[in-house]
Amino acid sequence: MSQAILVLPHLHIQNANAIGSPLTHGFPSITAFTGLMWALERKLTQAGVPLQLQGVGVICHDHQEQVTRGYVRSFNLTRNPVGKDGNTAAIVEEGRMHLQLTLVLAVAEKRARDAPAALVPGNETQLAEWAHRAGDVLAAMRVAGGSVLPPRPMPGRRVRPWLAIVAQDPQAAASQFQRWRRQWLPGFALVGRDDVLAHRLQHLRASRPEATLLDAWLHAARFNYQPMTDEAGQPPPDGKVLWEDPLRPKGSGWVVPISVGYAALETSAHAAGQVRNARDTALPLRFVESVYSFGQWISPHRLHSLEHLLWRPETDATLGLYRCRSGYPAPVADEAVTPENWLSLADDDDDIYHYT
Amino acid sequence: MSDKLTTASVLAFERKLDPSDAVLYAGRWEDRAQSHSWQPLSVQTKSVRGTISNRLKAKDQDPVKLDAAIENPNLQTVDIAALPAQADTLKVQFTLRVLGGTGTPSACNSAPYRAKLLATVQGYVQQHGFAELARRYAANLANGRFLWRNRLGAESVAVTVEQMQGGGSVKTWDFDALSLDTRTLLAINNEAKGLEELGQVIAGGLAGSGHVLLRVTAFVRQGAGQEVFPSQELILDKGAAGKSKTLYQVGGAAAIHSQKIGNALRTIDTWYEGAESLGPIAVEPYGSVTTQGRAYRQPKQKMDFYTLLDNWLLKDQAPPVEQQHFVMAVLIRGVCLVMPVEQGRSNDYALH
Repeated sequence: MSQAILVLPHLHIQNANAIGSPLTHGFPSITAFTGLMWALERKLTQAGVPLQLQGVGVICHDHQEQVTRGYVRSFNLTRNPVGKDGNTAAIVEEGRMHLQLTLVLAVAEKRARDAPAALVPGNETQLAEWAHRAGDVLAAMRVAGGSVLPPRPMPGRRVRPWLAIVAQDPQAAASQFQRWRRQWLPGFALVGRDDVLAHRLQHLRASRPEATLLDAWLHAARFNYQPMTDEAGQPPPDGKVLWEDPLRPKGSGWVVPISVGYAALETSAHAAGQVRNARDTALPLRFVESVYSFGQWISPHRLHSLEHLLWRPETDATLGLYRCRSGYPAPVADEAVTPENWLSLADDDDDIYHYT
Repeated sequence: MSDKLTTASVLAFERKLDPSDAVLYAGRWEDRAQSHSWQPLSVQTKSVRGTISNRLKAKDQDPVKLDAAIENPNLQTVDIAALPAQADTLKVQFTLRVLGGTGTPSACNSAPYRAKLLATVQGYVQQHGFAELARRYAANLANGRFLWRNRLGAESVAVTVEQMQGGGSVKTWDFDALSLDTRTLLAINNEAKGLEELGQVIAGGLAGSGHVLLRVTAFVRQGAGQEVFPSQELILDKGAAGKSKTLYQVGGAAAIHSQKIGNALRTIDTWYEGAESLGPIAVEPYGSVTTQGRAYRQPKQKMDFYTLLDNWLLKDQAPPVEQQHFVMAVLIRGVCLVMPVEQGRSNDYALH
């Protein structure tokens, strides 16, 4: 359980890295945000704010990828200054995007022994001051390689960072979260859906026992349109055949392939300073490759707990797995949200969000 | 092995002058006070039937073929941005964040080198401060160099720089940009009222541990309906775009790339050979000027950034004061040295 949350609302990020992994583009990797979390924690410690950041939730309100939209999308590139001989510099392809994000960070207090806890209800002035300092520190940092633009006034929205204590009582925490999530609308939160990959593999193995996880990932990452027939296998009587992806029916959610971390290519790490040209000679080094899974963009009003929103980094040095894990639970099959039942599912909400 | 200091194999600096994209708005000169309600300028697409006018290859110069070729129309689709017929003034607005910590590498894998580098930068700051560089950056805000082609042919250009704090402006400076010369950064520009003060604010940001935020607004009286010039996108696959010129837009509004603003702001290098005739050029490690396809700080002249930095740090030969300013300006610009670990974004600027 998180002690408190630090919310950095409506950050305008300019020219963030749009290439999330060697195989995906369109949004920075979730590891960019866990990296930001650690960097922010270090800078906060330097600034005298004793907070420990444990997890990060990402809600995207707006995005503009710097691409040209044709049948194939291509990145808008930059031309670099000429070299010393006056010749044009080589063009290095890079993907950039502008983002409007809300970051939700799970926070615990780094408390000196015998010091009174500061992260308690009733200490609002201190919390507001810390949140303000965090916003100041973040303004000078890079988010996923992009610059943080100054906040713009947005009528009716909080644009200043805020810190709030998470209630200990589960019921109080749930109603608290219901209040918070309303502020993050309209927008989409990125949550993990590892179960999609597992289900797809199961599905593929039914007809092709030799199918691998990569096959399953590629299969689920695309639309597999096919002509739909009725139960008897007969084409519709009017001759108008419906083409659909049977595994991605209407209402199955905005599921996207993402990278979630790194897996080691070797059994053990090289000792510090053993590898030439390493970025940091004081730390052990291990060669890794990206780990792929699935994520889903989900409107925050569909989330019912803070933990469902958060991504937490997870390290297993023996297995060589350095990945981020989302707290979002895999939906139970018969509870899947379809256009027919989502209204009834949402009925228990007192703050149902009306689409127009 | 001796204890001789060697260059870190991984060394990168983040930029310390961080401009945003500049967004274009249109309105009337006399309504400048209400400019917050001006409409953003949109980019239009137009298709034109042009003529063939490019130089033809020798083998095509058979008169019959030539006639046939040049009689063909040259159809093309291009993006264009122009002021509306009832608006005569272009407003260009961006924010500039001035960050402290110059000389602190964002990546460096050699602790002794890092220590030496910090000591050297500290020595420079104690001796000279950032006053000289900051005044030059301030001059480039005041003279409207960041407007690029929009500055040419303008009837009048008014630049307002505000220092922002907590969402509001705490200090304001106004400049008449056209009265300031972009070719000199020394004599004439220093006469502009308030420039010294703005320079001190920027110097404070570069030296401080926090950051200084400036909002720059320029009003350019162009004449109603005149064409204006946002940045052009560099697209390798022109076929996909379906047009031969694509202009940059942010959220539907025409804009100038942040890289291009940054390039204009750091056009302060008057310490290279030949500066008397050419005027200031952008701070680049090799003094390269893309529009001329030339580099003015060739390694053989021993005036390029890498030679100067190595002499200063590794051989303890402090360069002349002007070249020290240049080395610091490159560190403020942001640079990725030796190994291409991360692309120094600040050295990218868009094709125009």
